[in-house]
Amino acid sequence: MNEIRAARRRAQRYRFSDGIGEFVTGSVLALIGTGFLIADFLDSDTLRIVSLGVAFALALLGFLTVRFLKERITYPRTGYVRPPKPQLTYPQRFGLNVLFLLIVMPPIHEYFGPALDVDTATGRVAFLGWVSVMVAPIAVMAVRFGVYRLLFVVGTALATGGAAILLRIPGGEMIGSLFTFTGAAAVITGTCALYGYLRAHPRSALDGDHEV
Amino acid sequence: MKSRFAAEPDRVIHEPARLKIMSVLSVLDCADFVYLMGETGLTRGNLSVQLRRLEAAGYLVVSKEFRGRVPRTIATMTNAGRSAFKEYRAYLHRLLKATSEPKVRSDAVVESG
Repeated sequence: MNEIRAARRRAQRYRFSDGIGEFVTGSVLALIGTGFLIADFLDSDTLRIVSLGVAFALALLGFLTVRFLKERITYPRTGYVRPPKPQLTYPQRFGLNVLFLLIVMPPIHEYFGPALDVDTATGRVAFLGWVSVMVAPIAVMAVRFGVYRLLFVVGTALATGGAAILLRIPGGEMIGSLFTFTGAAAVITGTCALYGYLRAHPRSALDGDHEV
Repeated sequence: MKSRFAAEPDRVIHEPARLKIMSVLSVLDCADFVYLMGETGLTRGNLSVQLRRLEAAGYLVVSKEFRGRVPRTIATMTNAGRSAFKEYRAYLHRLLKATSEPKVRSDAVVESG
């Protein structure tokens, strides 16, 4: 039984083994953050809307890039596996949707709406609370699947959020710098994981499969 | 009197190599040949033969596709395979329960003389 349970856990952890997901997601997040910072620096509304559109396009492109890289790097070396999809109950699905809205809405509001007043205690608590909600799913994944390097990304996000409050950085810049630093942390962990993976699995060892 | 061990295990699953494959696939949606090789530790030839046997028994569906020039063989467990594996596990549970050793008290003291 333990062996079977371990096989399931390994399959779930497998998608993180090559670091490609982190690398690409981190790059996209860092690019989006940089775009936000530039738009804020130039104080251009047009650029803000353009950068938000580019952010969505990059997110889609990132998804396709991960698939492309896994097809060429991971699957020929260590194979392809699809763990079973979790069977979510209605309350769980509802909770996940609420979590998604909690993560997505504040930056959009912060970016286009009135700026968050970080000088007030409420503003600080709200911002740090949002950062915590944003990184909570990553922390849960890191512990549940034993991918502890993701905690570095979580720590970076929380530290950047804390620093942004202490330095009283305005709202738009705060979001931009948070995305940039968190993305950079993910790129670092992803690169290290990818390097380790490529060293552990040279292509010649398992070069595709043959006749069955 | 009916013997407690009258029931036979599923011979298709009972073989160690096939049992490994079934155990891995029972917790997955699907997996390809290379992944199964890594998980089960079987050689290409052995895995290939055992997959064919399981497919012939209707426990697996093996499909092939090409990604660029690289062939990929994907194995998926069928519903019949899942229920057969479930029954096999239940059989093993029954068997192990019936033959479990009596509990020995750890504080039992053997008195001499």
